[in-house]
Amino acid sequence: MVKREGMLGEPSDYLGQPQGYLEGNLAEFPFVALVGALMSTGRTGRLLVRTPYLEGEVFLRGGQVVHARVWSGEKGLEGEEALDLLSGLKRAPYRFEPEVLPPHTTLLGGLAVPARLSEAQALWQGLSLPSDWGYVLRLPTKGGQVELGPEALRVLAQVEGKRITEVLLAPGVLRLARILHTLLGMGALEAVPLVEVPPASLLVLPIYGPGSGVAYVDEALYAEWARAIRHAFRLRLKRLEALMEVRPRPNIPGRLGLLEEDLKRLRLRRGDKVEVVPEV
Amino acid sequence: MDILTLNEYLNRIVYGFPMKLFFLLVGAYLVIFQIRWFSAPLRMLRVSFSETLGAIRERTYGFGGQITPFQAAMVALSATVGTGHLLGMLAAVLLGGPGAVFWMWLGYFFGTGTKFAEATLAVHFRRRFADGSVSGGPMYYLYRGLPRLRFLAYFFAFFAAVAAFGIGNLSQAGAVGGALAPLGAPPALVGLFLALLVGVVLGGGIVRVARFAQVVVPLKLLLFLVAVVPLLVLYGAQIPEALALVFRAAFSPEAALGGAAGYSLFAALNAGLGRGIFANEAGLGSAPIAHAQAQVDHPVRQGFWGVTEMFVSFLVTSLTALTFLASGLWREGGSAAEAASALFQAHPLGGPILAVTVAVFALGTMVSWGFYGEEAAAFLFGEGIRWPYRLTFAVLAFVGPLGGLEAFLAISDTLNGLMAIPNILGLILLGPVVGRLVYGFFRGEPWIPPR
Repeated sequence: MVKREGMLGEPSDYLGQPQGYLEGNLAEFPFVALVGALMSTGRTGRLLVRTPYLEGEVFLRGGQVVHARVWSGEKGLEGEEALDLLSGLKRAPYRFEPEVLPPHTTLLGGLAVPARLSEAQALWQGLSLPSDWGYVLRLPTKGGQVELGPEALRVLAQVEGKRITEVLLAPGVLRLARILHTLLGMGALEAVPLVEVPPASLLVLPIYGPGSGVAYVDEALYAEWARAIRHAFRLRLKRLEALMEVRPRPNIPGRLGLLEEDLKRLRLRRGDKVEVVPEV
Repeated sequence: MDILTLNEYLNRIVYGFPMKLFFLLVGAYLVIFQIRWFSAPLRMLRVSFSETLGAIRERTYGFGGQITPFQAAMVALSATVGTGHLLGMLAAVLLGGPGAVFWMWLGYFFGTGTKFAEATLAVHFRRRFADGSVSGGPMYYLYRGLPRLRFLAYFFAFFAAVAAFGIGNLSQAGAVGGALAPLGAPPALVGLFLALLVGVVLGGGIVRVARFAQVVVPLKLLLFLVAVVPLLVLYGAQIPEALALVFRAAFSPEAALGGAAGYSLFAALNAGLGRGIFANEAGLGSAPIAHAQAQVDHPVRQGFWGVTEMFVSFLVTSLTALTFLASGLWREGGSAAEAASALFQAHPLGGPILAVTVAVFALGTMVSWGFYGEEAAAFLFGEGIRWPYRLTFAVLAFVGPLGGLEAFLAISDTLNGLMAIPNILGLILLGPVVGRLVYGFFRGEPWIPPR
């Protein structure tokens, strides 16, 4: 399908879409600039933004932003809070559907909206949260000491195991974003992708050499996992509950290469079947 | 000098005592200086068993290729464990006396290095084709590993392709026919059966050859046990004495057996080393053609299967020799066939078990050699030669039990011995490659195939 990314004001006369229909990705056309462009051309309709974990919509009437909403499951935000959150999205597909009217209004339009948007944009630019808000927050695996204020502590106590989206989808979006940025920056929190790769059943293959704590899998399997995870990962040997560094190795399809010392430690021998699952 | 005289002269050289000593020295060089068996002997032994017998339960799991490492070892064993392990072993004891067994063991010990190096190099230098199939063996490691001495690869391939027709086919088919004749099997019918079997199995390529070997090798070992265990039980009381005699007669046969027995140290050495080298084919370069087919992550892993092949061969020849020595029949002299017949008279199943065992041993050897010859011919003439080669092989399998073609058999026997010359030269020159691969394997390094 031919996409018309980030082009405004041109009639859309193909694929049966109504005139003014528009779609693209926020990675190429940032949210604030996109809304600004829709406003300046006096458009009416709905701007729909959709990520795997979050959906948002902004309604315009005659170039005025009159309603904004974001939601994920049953949780949601409306109005300026929703605009704040959407301003921070760095990458998400969007679609503008002309002539769709809002169910109700939560924003008054006028200059307040562009001002709010540019304020949010400036704040988001100073934060370094992962671009994928589907990442899950967890306490770091390696211990350390940090000093935190009561507000940061309160947030820290509530966010473990939650996606970034879930945490931000609450009143005080920008404040929460700033706290998360601080916690991540200090190393009090880690943001990792939620890996849902099915476990693989592999046969143990001894690798003779010095060292320990490293598991080898076939290059193809490693590449498949790396593509799915897009983050550094380790390997969990299920049932044995051992977590090991994982490296690719050529020509060992269906095998799990383990160093001699690990074989002894885990009481495994050649040909044993082991279920493994990559873990971030 | 006519061709048969020349052949006889060459035959004496390639199977002569100096050549056997050369085999032994090359094996020792590889064992001591390249593979470094003695640097950590217990670890090497443990790894060797873990990589082979310890991997039996995963025999059906390959590394993504056409056949598993286990199957490749079965193809090699199918060729190696042949009639030479039965009749050849008896002949060696008759010629060299009990001391020959000791020298055979020495040949086996250093032969493990040769076989290990052959299998390792075969995998390292094999060629992979676009359809996923592979070809390897001495012709490939000589060609790719020694670019300035490529003529050695062509010599090897020529010797192997022609020797397979004679020593790997006619002589084996003749052995099957000869073994089954006393049971009333007409030679023509046996020939027809062999031709059909060889044609069908070879026609299926390495996958079918491997499947066949996977069945025939356990069958060989089972038949061997059925043939030899009752005799071992019968002569069990004499086994310790036979074992002691092997060691006593190894260095001073005259003192151990009495001068009247007519056995000299040279005779014991010559006959023993002959069995210790030629029975297991270490150095001839035939088995690596099969080992090259194995899909493994590192060539050294297949090298260990080469050692296991030697171990199985060692057990079969040793048990045959010990049974024969314990029976005391070796003192009566005569030919190997007569001795075998006398030995099996005491067996509850008598001659038929010997006949069936010899026939199955020869049959397995024949099929694997068909594959070896085909691979060698394909190296020389390209893929188009495979079917003509298979058909010629099948026709000769039919002719084998009928007899004749003695001159061709004699020449192919010499060519079989000549295969060792380019191969052994290659093993010496490529020994450092084996050393590096072994070092890398025990450092946990992945294998990087040569370009």
